[in-house]
Amino acid sequence: MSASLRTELVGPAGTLAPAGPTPRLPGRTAPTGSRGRGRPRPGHREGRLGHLTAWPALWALLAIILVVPAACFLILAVSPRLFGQGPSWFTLKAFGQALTGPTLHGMLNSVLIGVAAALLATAVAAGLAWVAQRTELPGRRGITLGLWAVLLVPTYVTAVGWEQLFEKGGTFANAGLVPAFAQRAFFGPIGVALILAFKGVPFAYFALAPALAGLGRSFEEAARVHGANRIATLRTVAPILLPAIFAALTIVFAESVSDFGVASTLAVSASFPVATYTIYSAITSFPANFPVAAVVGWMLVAAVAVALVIQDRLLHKRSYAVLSGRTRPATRQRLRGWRLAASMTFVYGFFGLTLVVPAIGALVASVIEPFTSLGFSHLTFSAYSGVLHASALGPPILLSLKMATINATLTLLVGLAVARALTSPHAGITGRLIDVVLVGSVALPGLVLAAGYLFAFNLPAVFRAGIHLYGTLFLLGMAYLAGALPTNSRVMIGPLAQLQGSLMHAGRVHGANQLASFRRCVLPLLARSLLWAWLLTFAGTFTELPASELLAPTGIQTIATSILKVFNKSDLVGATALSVVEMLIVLGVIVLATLAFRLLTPAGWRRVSGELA
Amino acid sequence: MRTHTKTAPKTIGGAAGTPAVVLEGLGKSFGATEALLDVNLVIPTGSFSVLLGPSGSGKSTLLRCLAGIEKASTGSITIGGHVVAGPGVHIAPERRDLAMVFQDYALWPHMTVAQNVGFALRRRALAPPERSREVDDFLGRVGLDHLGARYPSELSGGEQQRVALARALVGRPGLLLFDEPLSNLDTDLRERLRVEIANLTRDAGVTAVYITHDQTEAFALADQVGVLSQGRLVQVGTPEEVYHRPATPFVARFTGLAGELAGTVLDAAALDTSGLSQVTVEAAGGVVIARTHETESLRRGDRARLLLRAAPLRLRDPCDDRMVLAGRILDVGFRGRGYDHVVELHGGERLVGIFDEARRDRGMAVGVRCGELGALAFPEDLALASTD
Repeated sequence: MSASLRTELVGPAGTLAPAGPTPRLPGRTAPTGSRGRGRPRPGHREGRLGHLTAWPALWALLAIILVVPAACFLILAVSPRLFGQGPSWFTLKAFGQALTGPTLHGMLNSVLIGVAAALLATAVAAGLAWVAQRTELPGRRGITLGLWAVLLVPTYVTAVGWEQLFEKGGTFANAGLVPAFAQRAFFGPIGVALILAFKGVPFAYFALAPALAGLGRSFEEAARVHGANRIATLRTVAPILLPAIFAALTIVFAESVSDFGVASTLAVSASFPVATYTIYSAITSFPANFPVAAVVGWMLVAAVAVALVIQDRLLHKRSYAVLSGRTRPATRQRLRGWRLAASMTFVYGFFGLTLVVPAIGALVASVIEPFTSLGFSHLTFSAYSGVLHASALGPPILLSLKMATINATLTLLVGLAVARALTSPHAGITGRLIDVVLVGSVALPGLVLAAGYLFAFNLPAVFRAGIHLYGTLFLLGMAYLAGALPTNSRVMIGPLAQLQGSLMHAGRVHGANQLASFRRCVLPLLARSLLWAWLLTFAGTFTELPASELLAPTGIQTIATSILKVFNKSDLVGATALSVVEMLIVLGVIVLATLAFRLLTPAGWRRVSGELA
Repeated sequence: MRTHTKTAPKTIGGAAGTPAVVLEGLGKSFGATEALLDVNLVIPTGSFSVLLGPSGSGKSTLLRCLAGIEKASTGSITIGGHVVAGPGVHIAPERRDLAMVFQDYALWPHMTVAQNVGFALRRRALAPPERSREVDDFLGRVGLDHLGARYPSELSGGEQQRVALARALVGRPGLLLFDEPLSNLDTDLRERLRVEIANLTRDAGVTAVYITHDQTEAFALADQVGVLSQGRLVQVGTPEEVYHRPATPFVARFTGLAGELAGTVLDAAALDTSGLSQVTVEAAGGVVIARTHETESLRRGDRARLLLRAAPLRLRDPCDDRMVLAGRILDVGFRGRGYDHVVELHGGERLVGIFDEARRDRGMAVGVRCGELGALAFPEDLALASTD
């Protein structure tokens, strides 16, 4: 699964559901006209071209970049002959192969790791959400920012950073800072689950925090005035948050079972097979076994689907609506004594473990000579100079920058159009179907999608049709767009849904045409959300691994595949140095973009767009 | 005048001049749901028209069709003599020469108060100094001349609504639309802003269409009132006409009743000066003289439903007069000038809001006399069928 955001899965009240067509943005009306004052002009026919072409164009795009490749790959599991991959039109042989030995083992490992990561991440996220929403802990405003940082770091970077800390014979082990049992635990299921849980915490937090904030204080007050003590109050009120809790568990589970970053780094080092790596192995081995890879793809999709069904069953027919215009915000608790100390330890400890420790680990390990102990005498920048002077490194960085910039811009434009179409009151059944496709695609592991591309665009029939995209950067760009679009459009749905339709209408009835109304009355309110959506796609694409690994043209590398290549050569220090460079570039782009936003936009934009972001 | 079929558009009142707005056979459906059905209406230039109706009656849809935010499914809309909506025609909102005050104010939060108001001046190509003067002038008219540099979030609800009003007026539009502009405000502020809206709109001489579900607001503001029910325009008239001569039981109920009584027609008399018949109805153990325009349907011995307005009801001491209905006080509430009473008649029917300067305590036996224009009679089956 791509390292992209999954916050889009979280509905307004923290439910794991497609966003409904809530807002009242105007439908396409008449073509825009002049601004001149005067009586209305005699009527003219309204152009319906937009209406007639918008939905089919959207469907065609989604079919080409999402539905067909994924469907081809998944159908392959049962009908290899359909794609010239075997003699049978229908067979379950591949299932038989996949459900034995290491493949089955990998799948079971993935599920267990997913459950453990989901539970741990949700528990930690609940704690963070409580601190952020219900206490006056100093620095609590930085929690969201810190979680964005955790989110932006790909799992393979975290994994490589932590590996540096625990590696046998590494700098920290040599300094006696790593006990043997911790080393053993880390290079195994515990380490894998821990890193996936760290990565899952932001997803769980973004599911829980709005629900906790929206809960208000009336439910607690009602419990207290009717005789409940603190614990009984918690017991009474906590079930109201069940949808958000299930949403958090499901998102982290889905994210963990489909992760490829840890699977291709730490899990390999620990000889701990997981499902995504078995897909990768099946595809990249010779001869490639696409049907078995497709079966594992099915199993991953099924695991996520089962989680969604369980969630749906558990919440079935119960109303958890807590948000209303009359909700009074909850009061914040002023922490003192041991509570303050415990909360600070918890929050700062979490960010220490997820950001600071791996960052320091990576930084220190990348500037200390390998297999030596800590000390200034062993300080070296050879890894960086090696990285920076390697003639092969410039092109991957430039390519990733170029691809990420193009993809972020394209995804933003298409995503905004999709989000606007989905939030239109005229979306209808077509809109709902597209919504389902997009939500489904979010649950589709990035590796499965990439494998679908690898397979679908390599079919003889596709070549015979004159489509020669296989092995081109264009195809990789399509895969990036397919990976980012579902997430990006759903990220945009939130701010668009929050906009009161009347703001756009007010622009129209007071004389501005549709474009001017959007530009002057609506765009400023979306600006910060658009910026963040762009940055998220940029960071996601810049660091994207599975599609890059499977689809990059021969001899061409992105920065992520370069890191994996260096890592696979057992050059952990080089991989770490490259990861640090990668993160610094992402950080630099974020700083530049936010600085530009601050300096170049009018005061009113900055004043309000943050409220919607 | 229970419903309007496809006849000539109704003229609101008798005001002279070219109609500002003409709706002919206007319909709007959302999928299978028909929000507006065959609405015919003429709004004279310079008039203040209020469309009154409960939630879901179609009044908001009608206003949005007028604004061009929604496209009419059938029929046509003419504004200032130009067809702006009709078969194959839909003029964009920005080209209809109108302005609107929204229920949620719809002030752009990234613009200051002055920028919000100035936005509506884009239709008038003014030089910056003149533009600024106009903004200041209209902010002054709504009493906010000192708040031009503030952002909407820094204003109270009432101040925000005043900004919305200034924005709507500053462009000197041909038509001004109000979408329940007072519904988010508390009672005291509603009253004050209602007066401001009435005065500023009339001073500007602009044609206004105002929608609300509050009949007090409608009667206080309107030159003319149109009542909507289930997407149909069921009655159009002056506030007095709508109140005293409701076309249907629905209009009577929606414009405020003390209660209803079932009875039997004893006698039917000729038309009175207002064009209505007078019927004597035996109900609640007494006799009530009511008016009706259902002359053909209410003859001696027919079942009738009496719809009683509160204002003409008077409390009396119990007596043998059959015109005085016997009952007892169920509840009493202080209303400043006197007391509102709830009376339960001997048949169990309740009448609410009966005013008297003197307090009658709970449980006290009383009589209720229905004054002139106080009771409206409808055939019982019609009244019971009209429950919306």
